[in-house]
Amino acid sequence: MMMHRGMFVVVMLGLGCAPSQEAQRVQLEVEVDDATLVIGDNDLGWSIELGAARLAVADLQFTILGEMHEASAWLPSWVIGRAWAHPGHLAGGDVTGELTGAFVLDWVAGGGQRLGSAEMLTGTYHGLNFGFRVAAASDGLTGEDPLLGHTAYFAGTARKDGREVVFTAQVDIDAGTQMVGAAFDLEIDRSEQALLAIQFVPVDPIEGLSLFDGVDFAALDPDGDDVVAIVPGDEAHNFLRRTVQSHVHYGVVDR
Amino acid sequence: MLASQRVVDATEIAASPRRRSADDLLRLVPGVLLSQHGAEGKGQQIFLRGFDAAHGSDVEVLVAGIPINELSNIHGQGYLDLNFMIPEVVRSISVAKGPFQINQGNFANAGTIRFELGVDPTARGTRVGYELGSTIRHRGVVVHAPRRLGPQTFTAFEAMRDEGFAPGRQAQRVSSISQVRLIDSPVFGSLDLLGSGYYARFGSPGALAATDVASARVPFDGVYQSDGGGSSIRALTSLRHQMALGGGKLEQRLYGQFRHFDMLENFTGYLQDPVNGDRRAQAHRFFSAGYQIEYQRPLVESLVLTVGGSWQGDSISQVDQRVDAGHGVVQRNWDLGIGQHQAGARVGLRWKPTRWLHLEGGARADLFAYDVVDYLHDEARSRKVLGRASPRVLAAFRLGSRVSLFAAYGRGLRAPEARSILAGVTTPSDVVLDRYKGGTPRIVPSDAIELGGRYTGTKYLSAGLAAFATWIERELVFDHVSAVNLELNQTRRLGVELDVSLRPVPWLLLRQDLTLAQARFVGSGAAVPGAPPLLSASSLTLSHPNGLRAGVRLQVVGARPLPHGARSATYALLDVGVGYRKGPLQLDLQVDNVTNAQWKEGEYHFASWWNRDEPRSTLPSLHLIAGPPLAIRLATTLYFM
Repeated sequence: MMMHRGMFVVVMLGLGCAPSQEAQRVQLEVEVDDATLVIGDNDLGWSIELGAARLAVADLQFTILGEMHEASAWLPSWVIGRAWAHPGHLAGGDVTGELTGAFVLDWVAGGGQRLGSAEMLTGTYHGLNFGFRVAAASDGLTGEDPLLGHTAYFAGTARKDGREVVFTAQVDIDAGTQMVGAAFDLEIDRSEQALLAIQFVPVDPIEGLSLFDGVDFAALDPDGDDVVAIVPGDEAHNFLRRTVQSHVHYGVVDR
Repeated sequence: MLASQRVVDATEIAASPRRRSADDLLRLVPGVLLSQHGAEGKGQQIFLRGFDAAHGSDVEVLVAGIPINELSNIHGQGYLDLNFMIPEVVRSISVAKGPFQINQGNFANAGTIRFELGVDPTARGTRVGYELGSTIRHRGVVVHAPRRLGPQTFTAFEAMRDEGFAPGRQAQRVSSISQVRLIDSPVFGSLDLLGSGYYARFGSPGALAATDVASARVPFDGVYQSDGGGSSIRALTSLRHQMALGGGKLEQRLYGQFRHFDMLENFTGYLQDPVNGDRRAQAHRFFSAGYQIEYQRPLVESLVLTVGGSWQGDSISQVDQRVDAGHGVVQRNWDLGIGQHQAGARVGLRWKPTRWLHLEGGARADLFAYDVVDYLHDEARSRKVLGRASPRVLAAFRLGSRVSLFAAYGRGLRAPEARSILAGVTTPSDVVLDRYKGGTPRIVPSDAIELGGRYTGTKYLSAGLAAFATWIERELVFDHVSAVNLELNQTRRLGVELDVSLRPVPWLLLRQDLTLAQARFVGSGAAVPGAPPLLSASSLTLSHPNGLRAGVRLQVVGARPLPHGARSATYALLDVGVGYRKGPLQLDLQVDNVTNAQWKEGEYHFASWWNRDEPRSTLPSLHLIAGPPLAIRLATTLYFM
């Protein structure tokens, strides 16, 4: 029997027998990038300058488009589900890179903050996903931190027609809600040493959509003291709650 | 006839190794790779000519002329379950690769496989067989084929129970098939009645993460959960009428089917639902009725006209839901009522202007109509009618008496599944529907060519060589989770098939089949996941007049490209069967996987999360399904003539 199996092995080697091979993986560092934190106007003409922009997120995922035809490629990847039902299916929108964990992304004070090392399969990437969560003391926040107990916190100044309003905004988003499909165009091969920088894009450069679209700061300041605090329950909060979830306000670049 | 066409006869079938079920007989088709990711009783994953046809989406199969692919099956488009057939009454398997003939219908992108049922004169009589296998397998079969009647008439019954080689591989089934020639008249022609009943239960081991196997967290042939499996029921009947009419030949068939299919699987563990797990329970039921007609008539001596048509109507109910460990419903994914019709018409000419030239040309038109009610969305109703014309031509040139050259072009088609027409109904309400450019269901056409030659020498040697190519412009796949139709980039499949048959003496046949296929996305050059680039089968079939018969088959499967750049392992399997008949008694010994190779029958690349003590990862990784180790079956058959 041993001889029989030995001969069999020889035959197999002669036929080019090869073991299974995993997809190639690389480790890439991920950091917070503040380069795109520009001042922009919203749809009501308010020019906004941000002094704070922080977001509590979990589990960054990087996706490939695969071989999806461009006719389908416009689809946001949250529409393109993952084929849990059956193995082997590849239709695009697959998660092939990830950095798991809980993070507070601080796009003003935290520029250059390293989030960790993402594990990525080699391939051509087209998207970023992450989950929203509620910031907690375990994030290193003090009891007075305005982000504590919320998902996002913004502060800044809004100007229009010579008027200047100082504002803060606390935004709540249900834990587990996903932002899916932020732009991330990079081909990653085995030798890739890119530094992936997560960007916040308050004004979408393509369609001009602002994070603060729909927010009229004058209407939020009935007492005229030029100080506005947007909190959960406000109508303006609901505007922000929707735009913060939009993929157009985030991106990944190679630094 | 093309260079790649092949007919496997009853003698070769009877002597072939690894013939546990009729499903296994597909292994005798050159260039076909089967992968079982359930247990015996579940339809197998089929690969042919660079296609990963999943459960049958690109391979058309007919049994006694009846289409077996299940359009809109909940488990997979074109789902094929051939386990209802009893191998002892399979009279021949004929293979037409590529979509080059006008009688090839839906799903024939990679080819058409036809099973003819019957019992040849040499095997007629009554026989009773019992098989005992090393996997605690018991199989009994009774075939009654009266010698005074023709090969069409027989009745057969089979019962099988197999504990399987490892957890999740248990299977049991009972099946019966009967066919009788009711009328055989020179005036009215012949009328054959076929009836079949089948019931099976089977396990489903699921796939194991390769890292878990490597770390010995789970055995190579183990399971994560032991409740996977399903059941399958089929009742089938048909009436076939053939007669000479107006100088031609008329054939018509009326058939009806009932199917019941239940399945419980979990491939991803707790990735989707960390609490209840990702078990999916599927139920599929359908009633089906169909009619086929074909008329062939010579117009002049060298020119034959063929016209034909077919219709099949299905009434389907299907449910897909995520269930917990107690199989309580966690989430209902699909609950549909479907009415669907498939109709086709074809016309063709066969012209033989000279002794050395044979031409065939024609076209078929196929029509698919769907009426789908979505019970999970306020009984929303969608209707769709789709049609497509498919031209087919082929030419054969005889170069002398022994060599023929062939050239063929054909357009194949794959109809969408009924669920796909709901894409615009079940998408999220806050998505603008006019953005769904890729969301329209349609028939996916493929364009294929084949060039080849065949040498049919003396009675000792036959050899064929065929080069094939298939292009699909924009393949449409329906994503079952998001309910969106996705268009994929253009693909092309190129390949070469070689077969050599040597029959040094009438009772010994040696065959070598080799298929090389390369399936790529045209733009990126990336490999199309799934299809094996190399398939080789070397076989010996011995059927001696003194009662000795034997079959030896060595199959080598090249590394298959998997998604994201992963690759499956190469493997080789050696199967042997030997039998001897003395008078009324026949003994058969079959040994599968003679070398007891540890091989992976299925390999996949996807994300799963089974160990909840470890961090959840959504990254795809290799998963495997163990193939059967060495297995021995001893069968005894008693013939009553």
